[in-house]
Amino acid sequence: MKNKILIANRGEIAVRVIRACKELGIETVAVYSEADETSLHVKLADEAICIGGARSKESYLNMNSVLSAAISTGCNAIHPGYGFLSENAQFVEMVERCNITFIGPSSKTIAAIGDKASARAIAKANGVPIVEGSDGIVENAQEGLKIAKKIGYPVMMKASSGGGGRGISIVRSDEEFLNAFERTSLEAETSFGDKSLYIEKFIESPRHIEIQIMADHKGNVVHLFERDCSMQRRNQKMIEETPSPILNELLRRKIGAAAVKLAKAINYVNAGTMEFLVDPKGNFYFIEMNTRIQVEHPITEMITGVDLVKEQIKVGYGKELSFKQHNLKINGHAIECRINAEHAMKGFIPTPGKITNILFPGGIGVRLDTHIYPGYEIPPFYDSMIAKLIVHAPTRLEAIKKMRVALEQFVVDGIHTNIEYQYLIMHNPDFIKGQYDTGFIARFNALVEAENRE
Amino acid sequence: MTIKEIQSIIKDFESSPLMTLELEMEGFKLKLSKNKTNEVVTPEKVVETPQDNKLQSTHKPVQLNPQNLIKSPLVGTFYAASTPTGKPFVEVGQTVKKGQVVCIIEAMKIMNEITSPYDGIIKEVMVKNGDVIGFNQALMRVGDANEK
Repeated sequence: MKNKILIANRGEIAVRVIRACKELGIETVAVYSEADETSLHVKLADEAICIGGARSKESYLNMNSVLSAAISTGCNAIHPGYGFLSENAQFVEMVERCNITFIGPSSKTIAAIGDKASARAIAKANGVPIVEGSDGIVENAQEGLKIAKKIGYPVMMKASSGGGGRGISIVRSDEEFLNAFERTSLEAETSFGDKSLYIEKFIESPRHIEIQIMADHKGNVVHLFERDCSMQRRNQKMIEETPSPILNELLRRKIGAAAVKLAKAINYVNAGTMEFLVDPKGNFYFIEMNTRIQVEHPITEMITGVDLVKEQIKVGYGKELSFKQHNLKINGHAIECRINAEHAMKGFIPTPGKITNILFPGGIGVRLDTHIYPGYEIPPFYDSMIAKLIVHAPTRLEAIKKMRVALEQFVVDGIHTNIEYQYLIMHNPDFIKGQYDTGFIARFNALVEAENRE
Repeated sequence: MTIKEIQSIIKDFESSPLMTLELEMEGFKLKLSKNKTNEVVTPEKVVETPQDNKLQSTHKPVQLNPQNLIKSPLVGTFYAASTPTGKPFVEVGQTVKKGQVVCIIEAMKIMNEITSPYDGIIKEVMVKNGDVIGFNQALMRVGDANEK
């Protein structure tokens, strides 16, 4: 049977996966909602099939429709991209039962480590440091209060089935706790269909450091170094870079080794990312694992020269990794700026609409992963990210300068974007010094708004 | 019927979803219509006035237009018949009734019977046996007897 992959996603990641498939000579099937008829991934794939209405629930999250599309078109594999069904253990099990290859880990692995509360338990059992917190899900607010008192404020309560920065609250005192618990449970219920929460000590001024893992069926597990994703707004990443300005070689090896150890302990296969928090003293704590390819994977590709999506596909089809840990080296520095269709000066409200013209940046070490094109109408139903601008240069400072030029030369007419906002950050002294934490963007916004008012 | 009454009727008609209105009383006949093509006439609305004059909108039977398409509610594979060698459920030129099975869409190994939402005659079958069908894709067109 000829290899044929259905890409169960949309936007820039669907384009990314289609490209990798084409380079490998594999036929591609795109799926799209009624709102995405004119989307780029539909035009690029060998075949395309409409799977439902505009709302994600009716289309990209519709397991039956996606699976039916794969079966009808004769696909022998499905690549889930990120988000949507990529970490849905039930969907993966359905795919497995239909004898279709899922490009990712098994449904069992996803169920085990994708649940954030149980992931903490697995890490603890394997000697990987975790943030102090509840042992699993907190049954009710009273129990939570007891745990919070024991750990000591401030604490963070998080949705066990959560992701994308939602269903998270920070509580600093007993008085706030009960209210916050109710509110966050409700948010978790509506966002993820599961109100379960767990509690962790809240680490002030942390850096968000994640490790890219890649593993094959023969037990070869490697890490492809770290990504520093501390530049976040409301727990959503805006800028990522590698290597991290705060990791020395020793810490890098320690965190990398911990990530690999954990991956081996759960027999992980394919691509995945272990997320850690690093405090100002250099202590690191495992917080969760993402069992899929991530948005920011390009910066890792730039410094290592490894095409992660191609490796995913190869491993998915049973091939071994073509490299071992000692083959991997960090080469230069890479930064990614997420470009969103949003109005930065008006509270970042999403700004869907028609793109009338685009000028694309380019040159050595400039990469643009995007699905937009002149005349494209951005639908209002999905997230606002329209492009990822990535630069790669021999040093961090050169990378920053390169990003400035690339942002200057990237013109998107017809809608608002955060291009200028990212440009401002590229000139910010703290960012240039590499001294920032997950609270940076909030403080930066306050600064910008104050300037605006003057 | 006074001018004011006629104006009032026109105003009500304009803001209603009705497409045509015919009013016949002794010595008086009024016909109003909105000019929109390819619009299915909505069913009748009967309004009774205290003067015992019945205002009755005429309704034509659901106007079949060339765009009456039977669309697939599912993603899957199209089959014209219930078995691989069987006779197709319907053929071009055949009369169908609302609710009649016209084809099968196979999704996830389940054979789903697709029924016609209209009365009429099958004018066109746009797909063939074994075709991959997407959500809301047009399968067949149903027209009325008068259509060429």
